[in-house]
Amino acid sequence: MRTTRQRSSEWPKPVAVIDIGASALRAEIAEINEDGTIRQLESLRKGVLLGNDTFTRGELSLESVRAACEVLRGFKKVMDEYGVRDIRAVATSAVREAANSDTFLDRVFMTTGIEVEIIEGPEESRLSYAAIHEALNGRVPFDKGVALLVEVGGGSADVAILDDGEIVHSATLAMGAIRLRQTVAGISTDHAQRTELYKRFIHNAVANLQRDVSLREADHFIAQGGDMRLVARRLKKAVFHDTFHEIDRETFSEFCTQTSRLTRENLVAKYNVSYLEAETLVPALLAYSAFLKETPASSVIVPNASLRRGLLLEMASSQTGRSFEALDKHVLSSALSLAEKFSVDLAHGQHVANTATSLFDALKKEHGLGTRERLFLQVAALLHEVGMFVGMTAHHQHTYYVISAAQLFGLGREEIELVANVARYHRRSTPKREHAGYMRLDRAARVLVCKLAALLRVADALDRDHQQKARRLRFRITEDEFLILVDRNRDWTMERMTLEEKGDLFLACFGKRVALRGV
Amino acid sequence: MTKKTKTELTDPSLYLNRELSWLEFNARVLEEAQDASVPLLERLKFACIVSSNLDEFFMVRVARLKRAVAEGRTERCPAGLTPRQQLQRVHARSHRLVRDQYKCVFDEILPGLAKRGIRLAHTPDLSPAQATHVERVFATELFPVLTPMAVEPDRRFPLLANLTLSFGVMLAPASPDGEPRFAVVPIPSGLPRLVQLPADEGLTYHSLEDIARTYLGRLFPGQEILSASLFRITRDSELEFDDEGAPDFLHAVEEELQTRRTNHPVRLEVEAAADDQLVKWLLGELKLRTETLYRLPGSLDVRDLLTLVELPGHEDLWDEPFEPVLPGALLDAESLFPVLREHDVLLHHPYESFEPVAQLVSEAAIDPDVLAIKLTLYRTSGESPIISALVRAAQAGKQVTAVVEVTARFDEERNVEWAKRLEEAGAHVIHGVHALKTHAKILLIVRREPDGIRRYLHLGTGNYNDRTARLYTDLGLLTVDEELGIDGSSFFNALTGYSDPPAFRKLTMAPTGLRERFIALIDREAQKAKDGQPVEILAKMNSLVDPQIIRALYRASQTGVPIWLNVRGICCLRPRVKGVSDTIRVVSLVDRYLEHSRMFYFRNGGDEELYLSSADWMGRNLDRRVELMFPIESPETRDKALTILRTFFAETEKGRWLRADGKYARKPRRAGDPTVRCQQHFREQAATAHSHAEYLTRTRFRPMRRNAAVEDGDETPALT
Repeated sequence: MRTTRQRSSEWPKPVAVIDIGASALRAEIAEINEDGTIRQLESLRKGVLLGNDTFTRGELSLESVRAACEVLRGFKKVMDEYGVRDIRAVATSAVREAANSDTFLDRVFMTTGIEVEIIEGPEESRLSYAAIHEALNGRVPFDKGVALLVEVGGGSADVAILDDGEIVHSATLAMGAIRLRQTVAGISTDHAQRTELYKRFIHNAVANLQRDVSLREADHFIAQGGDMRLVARRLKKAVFHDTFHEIDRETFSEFCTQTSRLTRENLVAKYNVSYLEAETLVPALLAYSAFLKETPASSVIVPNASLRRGLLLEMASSQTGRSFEALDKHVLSSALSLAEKFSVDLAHGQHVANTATSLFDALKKEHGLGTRERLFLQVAALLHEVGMFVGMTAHHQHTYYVISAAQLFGLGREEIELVANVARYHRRSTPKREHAGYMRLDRAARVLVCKLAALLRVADALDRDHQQKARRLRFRITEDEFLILVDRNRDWTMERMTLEEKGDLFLACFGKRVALRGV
Repeated sequence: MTKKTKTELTDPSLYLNRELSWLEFNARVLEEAQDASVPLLERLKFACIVSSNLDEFFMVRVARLKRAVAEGRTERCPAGLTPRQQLQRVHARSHRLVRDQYKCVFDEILPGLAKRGIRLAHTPDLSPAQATHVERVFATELFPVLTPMAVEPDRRFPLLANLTLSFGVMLAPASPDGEPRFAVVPIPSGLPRLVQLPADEGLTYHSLEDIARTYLGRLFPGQEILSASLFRITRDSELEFDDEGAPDFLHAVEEELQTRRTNHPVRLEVEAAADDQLVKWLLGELKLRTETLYRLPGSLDVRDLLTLVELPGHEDLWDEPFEPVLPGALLDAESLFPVLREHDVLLHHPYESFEPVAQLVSEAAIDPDVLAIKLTLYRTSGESPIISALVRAAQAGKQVTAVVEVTARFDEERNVEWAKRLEEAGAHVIHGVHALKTHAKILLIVRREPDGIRRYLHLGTGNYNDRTARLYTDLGLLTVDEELGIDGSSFFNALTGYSDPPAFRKLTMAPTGLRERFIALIDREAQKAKDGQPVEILAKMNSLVDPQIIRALYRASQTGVPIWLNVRGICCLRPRVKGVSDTIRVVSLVDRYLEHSRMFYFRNGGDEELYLSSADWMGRNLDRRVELMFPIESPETRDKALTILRTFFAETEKGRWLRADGKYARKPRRAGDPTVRCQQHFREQAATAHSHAEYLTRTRFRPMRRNAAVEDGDETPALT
């Protein structure tokens, strides 16, 4: 009988992820096991050149929208076969930059029931990086020295620099393969001339990037992305190492030179690729090759990783409750390097971050938030004083716009905006309707800002004198009070006074008065 | 030894013409009819197959050549012949073939059957009682449906249906100095061709045309019949040649093609005694050349003699009956799922039963944990148990996907009915892929199990047709291999259009890369031969035509790779040519069952690889069809497959070896050599293995436990 045969356990759980990119829609169906391991069941890919529309006309055409919905309906059918209920669907630059992205998302939802989330460049890199980390960790010594990570997508190229395994810089360049192709197609029809134009566009973008950061120290060159994986599979000289391919520097450069001479038809015939794949291959390869030229790396590492894999890893971590530590580390290190850049008192920043997370953990029941929000709080705490670099007066406001304008690895635009708000409210006024930055957030985000800022204000108050004396805190929670137990042998007058002033938001959010009690 | 360079490997002298090679195959089928050691009714069946093969060949291949000639095309085939030259040689060879066939049927088989009491009586031999019976049959059954059609000189020739019989009648001139007049009397095809006559002993038959001939005068009252002869027109069918069809196909061809009256005629068959003037008139009316005329010394369309073959009884005139057996590994299995989780199973049909495949689908249909069933259906009978199981599965809410290949219009209607049934039950029915025929044979079952999703896969060389599975030799793999499973899913996603064709892990698909893969595998053997590693290629298929693959084989032979090919039908490769194909041997096997499996073995320096496929080495398969090739990887199944494959090259009884001159010859047998007849050997081996396994099962007691889980892997035997 059906009922008796149903398993008591929910594991393994069938899940699916969808990636709506500039040249194709891709999906992955997998099972997540209780121990967090992922078993791939199916990969789906269907070429739809959404990027062609967005990067030339600024919006998705009716036909493309219809085609994408049709593809997603097919994907959904396959997913239904496995009884998949958890679907995470994301869209990148082609949809993100389209003027009619909202109607697109609505059409998709109405025809397939799939809710698509638009993700920002940094979010994309964060997820990709999770997959790269999985593929390379312990296999390639990319956590020693400097590594350059490049992913050329359809609409944009994501670049990250790792120093001893930690991301110290990340950037998204508007230089995707389809965008390049569309731009150049409008200028010239001659093949050789187009190749020259590609090179010039790419050169400019890379040179711009080099103003911010040098690529010359990179010992490793890690190239990620569909075009690169295709090359790695087709190139006989690429050495396969189970989770990644390694291509010798000279082999790759030579291959790029040869390939860039071929017309689309020749590419199709020679490498047995589809016309759609051939469309983007040359601009993508030229971009990778331009980056490689700037580094002394002896080979190109092509990890068997993708945005979809990153999405799956994240789903696995949220489904099993295991944190996505590998990544959080990089978010924090990229926040730290920003803090350093703005000469923040790091000891204070880190102390406040620690205190804030202790408060966060102690109040789990009261705020009901998860690991992602905890990470926002940490970042906001680390960065809450960046504004001082601009000026002491109203430095919380400077903090807001500095963070707001920053690129932080692993955080999307909206997430950065959220963090900027939390950091802003570490002092002075609590959130108000008159604050434009605050009101730009949606209601749920505003509530979140209040809760996190409430904790940050308390944590900051506890290190009023930047002495980091509030350590090993214990708490007692009563009906109407949140008591922080501190060493009664020390003087807490300043902190008590500051708390009086800064505990207002806490009381408003959690309905409890914060107080210090010496024990 | 002078090595030929790459360009020289395209030399026409290195290739055999495919049409002539096909005719040689049909001649080998005829040899079975001529073989006195074969039971009489089996011989008659082979003779009938020769006819239906030829009919199809004329409708498709000869018609094509004729079209090419008519369009003035002169491009040469790889063997260097123009369409005109091919057409001439095809007719010359066909004439010889038909002459031999008629000699065999009318001088040997029918007299032999008469001795056993099965007679085809001629009009003069009829007893008075029989003659009375014949007259009654004519008057009541034939006369009302016979319609003579006068053909005036300026009138259009009647549109006679393809492959049907008619009388051509020459009537005396209306006036003494006038020209003879002509008429046509079609024999209705709805009536049985052979009419049983009352007889004291045995069975006596009389042909419908002989009955009509006796009383033909009654259709032309008051006129004088100068001469009359039966004739039969074969027309261009505008179809693709196809040997996948099984018995179904022939009937289907008849039904559909009879309705095609306007297509160009390609062949005219008349009785040997037909009057020259009558024949000249027919050729003129049909605009046919003399070479297309076949004068037959016996009944036209001997296929109708199959009525005799279908007689009940007469077991001694048949091959010994054989029931396919279950392979030992599946013998005691209440459910196939736990067995297949333990190990792969390779089924060798028809020696081993096709039943497990049907059982797997039936089981899946009612299994609560099965989520989806997907398969390709190429020419399946509507009554197939698989279809009913699919309907049940769809009704039970499972995701059922069927890729149905409706090849020709005539299949459509019979497919429509069950395809509709499937759709109504909620299945997703796809009618093939644009411009390609789906010829791959794959069944995929997705099942939710405690440790996750598991995919059960059947990959085969033959169709999901329970009837042909008893007549054709095929191989099928049942497996739960993870990577093949992922590939299987991707394959269906590509066919259903849900995804672009993927990069497969273990499967290779045509038309996207199968030829390239074959060539790469052959070239690899050549490379390893140069490196001094152990190499060998063994391959078995129905047809070998593709020039690119043939060239790869020549290249490999030039490096010394031993190449053994078992090619049942067309083979355009010329073996044993010095400096080109010294190491290539080609054998064709024609025996009781139609050889149909495709197997490919590469020794690969000791790291052996063995593949099965639905594809032949033919452009048709590699360019215009969706085909699959899959590896046989588990040691047990690979050993089994390789042993089977090697046996084909040890055949001493039914094997004909292709010589460098393009002719086939049996191997001279030396006294004392052991005889090997593959099909018999496989039959005996399957039966022995089966009874051994049965013995083991019987002698091992299995305590009955209450609630013994069917899924418990320990409960089922794992015999190999």
